[in-house]
Amino acid sequence: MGTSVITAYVWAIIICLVFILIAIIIANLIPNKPGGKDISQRKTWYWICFVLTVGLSFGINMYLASDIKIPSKHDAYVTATAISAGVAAVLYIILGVVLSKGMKRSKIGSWF
Amino acid sequence: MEDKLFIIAIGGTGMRCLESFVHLCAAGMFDNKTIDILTLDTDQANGNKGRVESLINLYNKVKTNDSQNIGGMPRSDTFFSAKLNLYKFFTDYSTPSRRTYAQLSDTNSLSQEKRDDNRDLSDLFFDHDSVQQFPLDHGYRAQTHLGSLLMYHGIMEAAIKAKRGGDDVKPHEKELQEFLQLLNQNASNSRVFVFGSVFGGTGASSIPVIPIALRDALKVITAGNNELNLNNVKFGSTLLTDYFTFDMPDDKQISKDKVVADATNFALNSQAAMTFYDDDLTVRNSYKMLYHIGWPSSMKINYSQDHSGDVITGGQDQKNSCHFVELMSASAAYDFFTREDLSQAKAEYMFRSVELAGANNREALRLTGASFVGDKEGPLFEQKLGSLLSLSHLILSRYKGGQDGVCGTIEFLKDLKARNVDAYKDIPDEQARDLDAYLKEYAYQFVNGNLAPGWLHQVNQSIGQGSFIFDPDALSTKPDTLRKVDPGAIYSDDKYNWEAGFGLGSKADKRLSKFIDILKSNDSASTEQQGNTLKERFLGLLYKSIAKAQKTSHLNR
Repeated sequence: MGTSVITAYVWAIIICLVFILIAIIIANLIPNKPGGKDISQRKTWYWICFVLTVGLSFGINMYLASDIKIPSKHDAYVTATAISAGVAAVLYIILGVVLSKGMKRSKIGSWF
Repeated sequence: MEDKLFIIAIGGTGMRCLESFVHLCAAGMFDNKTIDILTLDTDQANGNKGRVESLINLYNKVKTNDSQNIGGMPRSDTFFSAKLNLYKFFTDYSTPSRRTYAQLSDTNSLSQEKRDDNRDLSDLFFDHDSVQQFPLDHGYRAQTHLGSLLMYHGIMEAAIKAKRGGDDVKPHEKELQEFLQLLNQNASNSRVFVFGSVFGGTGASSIPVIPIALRDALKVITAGNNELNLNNVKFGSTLLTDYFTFDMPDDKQISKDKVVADATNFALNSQAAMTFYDDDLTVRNSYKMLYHIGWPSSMKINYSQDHSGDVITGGQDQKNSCHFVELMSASAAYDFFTREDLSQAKAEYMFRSVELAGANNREALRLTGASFVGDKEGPLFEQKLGSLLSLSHLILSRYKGGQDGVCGTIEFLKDLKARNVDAYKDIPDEQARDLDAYLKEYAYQFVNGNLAPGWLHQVNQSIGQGSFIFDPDALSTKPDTLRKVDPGAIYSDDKYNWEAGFGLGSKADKRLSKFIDILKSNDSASTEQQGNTLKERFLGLLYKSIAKAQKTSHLNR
C-alpha cells in the first residue's frame, strides 16, 4: 500500500482538532458552580482529551502502519507516527493555551 | 430644582418603618438621592432605635469605606444607591430630676403660690398618681396628651441649649441643631416624611406637633431670623393604626411601673386618633400628605410571644420583629418623595386597598409590587427588592455566607478570581464581611444551625397565609430549603426569574451558570453613575448582572 508519511501527520492534526472541539463543547456543557468545582472538571476533561488525542493519533497511525508491507516504508511511517503524535500533543496544548488565554472570561478560560 | 429629602423616625414603630426604608434604599429604590434622617425618641436605649441606627451605619460602611466622606455619594442603577446621613436625638429623661413629669415640671424657684397654680394646672390634665409619676425614659406609654407636650418641650429645650452653646450642650442636642440647620438651608424646597404610629406613645404624641416644634425650634436657633414656611418645607406622614398586640400587664407590674401601655386600647386609640387627624386644623395645615395604613385586627401579631416575663415598656429589650405595614409605610415615603405636585394647601389623605385571596376572601393578602407603590412603579419595586434577595441567596446560600464562620462574599470574590475576574481581588476581607452582615440583616442567617430571619423574612412571616411577590421557598422558614434555594428563581411570577444557560445539570445550576457568564462579560461595564471606588464598582456589577440575568429587566439589554 502506498501510504505516505504525510497521512500520519494529517490524521494527527485531524484528531487534534476534533478533540479540541470536543474539549470546547464539554467545557461549555459544564455549568459554573460555586467553589470552582466546575473549573477543575473542565481542566480534567481538557487533559482527558489531550490523552485521547495522543493515544488515538498514535493508535490509528499504528493501525495504518500495520498494513504497510514494505519494511522501509513501514519503518518510516512508524517514525512519522511517533513524531505526529508528538506534533498533535504540542498542537493541542498550543491551541488550548491560545484559546484559553484569548477567551479568559469564557468557560474555556478555565483550562489555563 | 429637586426637593431636599428628610426623614424623621419617631418611637419604636417609627424606627421599624425606618428599617424598612433603609432596606428599600439598599435595594436601589432611591437612586441619586441624599436623605437626611433624624431618629427621635424618648428612649435612648430603645432596642429598635439601636437596631436601625446600627443598620444605617452598616449601610454606610457597605456603600463606601471612605472615612472622610461617610456614606459616599448618591449613585444610580446600583445597590445602596441613596446617600443616608443619620442624626440622632432623644429627649433626655435620664437624670434623677427629670425622670417623671412631676419631677420635670417641678419649679423650685417660683413662689409657693405659683407652684400651687402650676400643680393644679398639671393635675387638671394629667392624672397625679399615675401619668405624672411614671418614668419617661421608656416612652410615653400611650399617654399622648402628655407626650405631645413633652416632645414639644424636649425639642425646644434642646434648641435653646444648642443656641446658647457652651460645654453642657450634649452630642444629641448638637445633632438636632445640625438637622435643623440643614432644614433651614433647604427651607425653600424640602420634603420631610415622618414615621410613627398613631396608636402608641412616642410616635402618636409627636406626629401632630413635630412640624410646629421644628418650626419654633428653628426660630430659636436662627434667633428669630427664620422660621419654616410649611408650604415650602412639605411634611408627610403615615397614619399607622394598630397592627400588633401584647399581653396585658399584671397588677404587680402596673403597681411597679405606674403606667403600662394597654394593647387592648390600641384600637380605641387608633379610632380617636383618626378623628383627631380628620378634625385638627393644625395637623391639616402643617401636613401635605397623610397615608392611612392599617391591618386586619384578626391578623395582629402578639409581640409577647417572643419573650416571657413583664410587658416590655421600652429599653434595649424592645426589639420587635418587622412587619408588612412598616414596609407599606416605607413605600408611602417613596410615594411622598417621588410625587410631582405637593402644592395643596391642606393635607390630602391617601389609602390603597389590597387584594384578598384566601377562603371567603379572608386572612390571605395577595401582595404584588403594585400593592406597595402602584401599578406604574410596581414592577420596578418587585425587581429591585428581588435583586437584593437574589444577591442575598447567592452569597448566603450558594456561597454559604449564612452559616457560622463563613463569609460568602470572600468566597464569591475568590471564585471570581479563579474565573479570571480579578479586578475585585483587592476588596478587603473586612469590607466583604460588611456586605455579608448587611445581607444577613436583609434576608436571614443561620445561628447554630437554626434560622434567624432577617427583615424580609420577618415581613413575609407577618403576612401569614398570603402571597408576597416571591416564591414561598425563597422565604422559607426551613433551613434545609434555604440552603438549597435557587437565587435565580425567587419570584412567583416567572418573568422576573433568571434565564437558564445551556449545558448539563439542574435548571438552578444552569441559571447560576448563566449569571456568572453575564457577570464575567459585564466586568468592565460599571458606569460613573454606579460609583468610582472598587467596592462601588463591585456593587454596580452585581446589580447590573442580576438585572440582566432576569428574563424581564428594567435595565436596557
